[in-house]
Parts: sequence; C-alpha cells; structure tokens
Amino acid sequence: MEERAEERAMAFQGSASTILFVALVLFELLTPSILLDLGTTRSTEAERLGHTGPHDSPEMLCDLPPGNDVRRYELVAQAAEWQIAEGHMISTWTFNGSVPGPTICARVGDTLEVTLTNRLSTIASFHAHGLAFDSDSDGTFLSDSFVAPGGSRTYFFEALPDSVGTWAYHDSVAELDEEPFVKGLMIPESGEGIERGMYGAIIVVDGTEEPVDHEVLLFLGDVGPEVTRKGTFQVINGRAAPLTPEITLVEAERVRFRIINAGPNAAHDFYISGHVLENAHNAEVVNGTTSIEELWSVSLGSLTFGDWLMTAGPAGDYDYSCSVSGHAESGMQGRLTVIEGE
Amino acid sequence: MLDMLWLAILLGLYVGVIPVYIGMLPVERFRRLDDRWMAFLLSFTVGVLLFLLIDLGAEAMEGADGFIAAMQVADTATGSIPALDQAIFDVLGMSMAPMAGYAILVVGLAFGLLGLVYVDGRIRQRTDTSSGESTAWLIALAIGLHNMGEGLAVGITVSAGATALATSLIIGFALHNLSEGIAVVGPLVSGAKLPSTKRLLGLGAVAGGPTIIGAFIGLTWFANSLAILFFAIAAGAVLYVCVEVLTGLRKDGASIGSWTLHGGVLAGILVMYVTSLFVAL
Repeated sequence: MEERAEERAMAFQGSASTILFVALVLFELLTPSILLDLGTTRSTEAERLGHTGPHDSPEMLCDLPPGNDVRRYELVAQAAEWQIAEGHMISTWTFNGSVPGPTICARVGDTLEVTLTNRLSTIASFHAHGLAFDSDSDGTFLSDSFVAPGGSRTYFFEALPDSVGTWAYHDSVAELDEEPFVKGLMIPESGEGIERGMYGAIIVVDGTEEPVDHEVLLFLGDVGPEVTRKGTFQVINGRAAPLTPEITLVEAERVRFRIINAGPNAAHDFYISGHVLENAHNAEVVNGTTSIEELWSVSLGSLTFGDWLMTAGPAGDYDYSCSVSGHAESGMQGRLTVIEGE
Repeated sequence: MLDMLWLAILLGLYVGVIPVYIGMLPVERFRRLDDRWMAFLLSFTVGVLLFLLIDLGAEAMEGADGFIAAMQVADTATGSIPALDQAIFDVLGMSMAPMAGYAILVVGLAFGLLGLVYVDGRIRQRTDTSSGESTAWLIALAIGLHNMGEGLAVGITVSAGATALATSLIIGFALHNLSEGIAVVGPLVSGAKLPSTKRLLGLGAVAGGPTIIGAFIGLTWFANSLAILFFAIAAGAVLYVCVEVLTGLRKDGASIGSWTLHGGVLAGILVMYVTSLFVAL
C-alpha cells in the first residue's frame, strides 16, 4: 500500500523530477522574452540633424503659416523603454513616447491649448516656460493643476511679444513616491519627471527671425543613478555619446542652435570646436556699427534656454561638447561635420 | 478582454505557477536528507510564512493608509478613480470614506483567519494527517492567497506600464516564489509517505494558480479597496498557518536543536527578503 502510493508520486521522483525541474527552469528563463512583450535591447542609430539632404527652402523647426490661430497639442504622459546609451536601456517617462517630447510651436498672438492625458502610475503635469498662463494652467502641485493617473486636463496659454524665443516645457510633479497626495504638507517641486524624460521645447516666433539654412534643437540633461541604475549620464536629446546627434552642415551655412538645459540638476557649458555662437538677442549698435556678442561657449544653468546663430566653418570634422568637468566623459559630446558645398 | 486573459495567464505562469512547481519538484530529494536538514527545511517554511505575514500586513496597512489619499485625487484633480472606490466614496461620503480602507482591512483579516479555521477542519477530515499533507494544503492555500495579491500587483504594474517587465524581474519573481514551493512541500518531507502526483500537482495549483486570477484583476478591474481586501484576507490566512505550523513544530520538534530551528526560520525570512529586493515594483 505504502509502496504504491510512493509510485504514484512519479513526476516528483527520480529522473522524472530532475528532467521536469530542468525543463521548467529553462522554460522560465528562455521563453518570457518570446511570449511576453518585453523591452528588448534595440540598437539605435544616432539622430541626424542639420543638412541631411538637398533642400530648396530653409529647414525650420517651426514652419507656421502666417496669421494667428488657436493651436492644439495632444500630449500623453506614458512610460517607454529608452536606449540612453549603447547597450543600456532604461525605463523612462515621456511625453508621447520619446525623449524629448514633441516640439510646441507658436506665433506671437497665438492661443495654445495643450491637453495632457496621463497614462503613468504617478501624477503628472505640463509646466510651460515663456508663455502667459493663469495659475490653474501652471502645472504645479500647489495650484492642483496636475493630472491624476488615468485622467486628462487641458492647459491654456498665450504667446505674448516677449515670448519670442526658445523655451522648455516639462512635468513638475511626477514622483514614484506618492506622498504629494497628502494635502496640507509643504510639497517641493519634483524634478523626477524631468530626470525620467518628461520635457520638450516651446518655440515662439514673430516673423522677424533672421532666415537660416537649418535650425538645430539640442536638449542637455542629466540622468541620475536611481533612473539609470548605472551611474549618472549627461545626455543630449536623451542619449549619451556615441548616440548623441550627428550634425552635418554645408560650408558657410547659417544655423540657429536652439539649446535647452532641461536639467534637472546640472549646469552646462556648451561649445562647438572651431566655431563661435552669436547672441542675436544681444546686438548693440555702437557708433553706427552693429556689434553682436560672439561666444566660444554658452553657459546654461538648469532649466535655462536660448538660441544662438552660427556660420559653418571650413569643411572638416568638429565636435560639440560640454566643458564642465566630467560631463563629456559621461556622454555629453557629439560630432559636427562640415561638408563642402555642392 | 481575451488578450488580457492570455497576458494574465502568462504572467501568472511565469511569476506564480512555474516557480512554485520548480520549488516543489525536489521533494523526493529533500526526503533523503538527514533529520537535521529536514527540520531545517520545516523551519525554513516557517520563515517563509513569517516573511509573507510581515509583507502582507505591510501591504494591507499601506493600502488602507493610502485609501484616503486615493479619495483626495477625485477631489482635487480631473483624474479618474476606480469604479468600486468611487462607489464606496459616494455611499459613505466625504467624512466617512477615509475609514473605509481600515474597515476593509479588519474585515479581510478576520475573514482570512476565521475562514482558515473552517477550511482546516474540512481538510483534516479528508486527508491523512500522519503524512503532513493537511499542513501542506493549508500552507498552499495561504501562499495561494498571497500570490493572488502578488498577481494583482504585477497586473497593475504591467497595465500602468510604469515598470518595464524585464526578464530580470521575472527571474526575481521566480527565485522569490521558488522558496514558496519549498515551503509547500516542507511538511511532506518528514511525512510517512509522499502524496500522489495528482495531489502534489493540486498543491502547486492551489499555491501558484491564484497569481493568474490576481494578474487578470490587476490588468482589467483594479480597485484600491479590492487590493486592501485581498492583502488582508491573505494576511489572515497566513497568520493562521503560521500559528498552526509553529505550534506543530514546537510539539514535534523536541529533538530539533534550537540552532537548527531558528537558523531555518532566519534563512526562510532572509531568502524571501533578499529575493523581494529584486522585485520591488
């Protein structure tokens, strides 16, 4: 009787149990990547900016038709798998699935309606720089103008004459720790959303901009070890070198660099080897001649932004980088190639 | 809905069912160990259960505390809150709703604990108590209730998309729940005879299967109140089994040295704790 009972436990005895054990372990280890939609390691090519092919007209970031309008933007706060560096994927929070999020364009006099839908498990918000808004559109915790998980909210803005230029938008409440839900406590602004990738550009034009051949939009940012799980990365457009943008220009082309330090923590000092950046907003007329401030490098504190003009030098290989100690080594550098004109 | 069911089944298999069976499979080898190691294994089981008790208690209490906060989201932002939570809020009103979380916790805990008293009586009628099988069924049931809560957490995380479900996370869960499989067969190791394959498979299904149910609910119809209830019921059930196994261990274990006994308990808690660090969602 006892022996028969022992026999009936066959699958859990002898070689059968060993074979089953190995089979189940192998199944557990090998099949999830096939059967479940896991974040696989994709190889990403560096983004190409500047002169990427023949063009008849200037390549502008914001090609708005003339006249004023109500411009509507739909943003979705969503999680994404993002390749921050070669061979290293991280979990990011994004606007519309990429870092940085889509560029928001406006002409002076425009009204903007930005609808944010939150598909994250944390609260999220849309906070804009450079535009005019009421306190219920400021996207901070203190004004309750954030969006709970699963919800959505529309923010309203106006582009005023002094809005012209390059600005950033970003989340300012998202946190893994959901303490901010408790009312009555002093809540600091959160930089976690920015660190995880929730930022983008706002570009406001008034039609008086100097025409250029290309506009290049660069976001500088720092991503800490709690997000990367592998030290701090200094990133450009969400990625560390060698995945930073490859910029190609034709000799003597005029370029407008729109540069945003999304932060959330570090300050940067951006330069392009062999080139000077012109601060067109700081032109002075001295003794009848226009003098334009020319800079070898531009300093950007956390959440500061600006645009600078540049003329591509002689054909050759150049690089751009941040001169703050350690930043280039942590990823904040890239290549700029100037090619001969056709 | 069907693709959600399929996803829930896959998640439940990887996170709950398969790891539990992997942990159970070497049961025959465990039976060949000497007495000291067998005693160690049984006290390891107690350690696993104690960890689950702490874990579930913390989850339930955290959920009950957070229930108020979840209510305030509806108050201040244009967010949506789960239908069941909203209904509780509507019925109880602003002043009473914050208490709902704690009430659910207390009811769930009592239900889990007293429910197991009833179930234990039924199990003892049906199984041979000399083989340790009845204790194994109790442990499987308590672990199953725990895994329902764990499935819920996994389902919510996957549906929110906040954490990428990496292979490393699945391996973490597998290591974590493998110990639960060992805990299920713990009482069988020193029993007179091993139960039939059918019954062993049943034990694994009871311990691991509820992960699928939890994952499905988490993916499709999550509510904070439901999560508190699940965790509280499981905490009550695990509490009952802890008390039962501990008394049994002390009664039968006169020959077991205290070093072995407490070493096993400590090992169980530590293994569960360390593996839980890999799967912090």
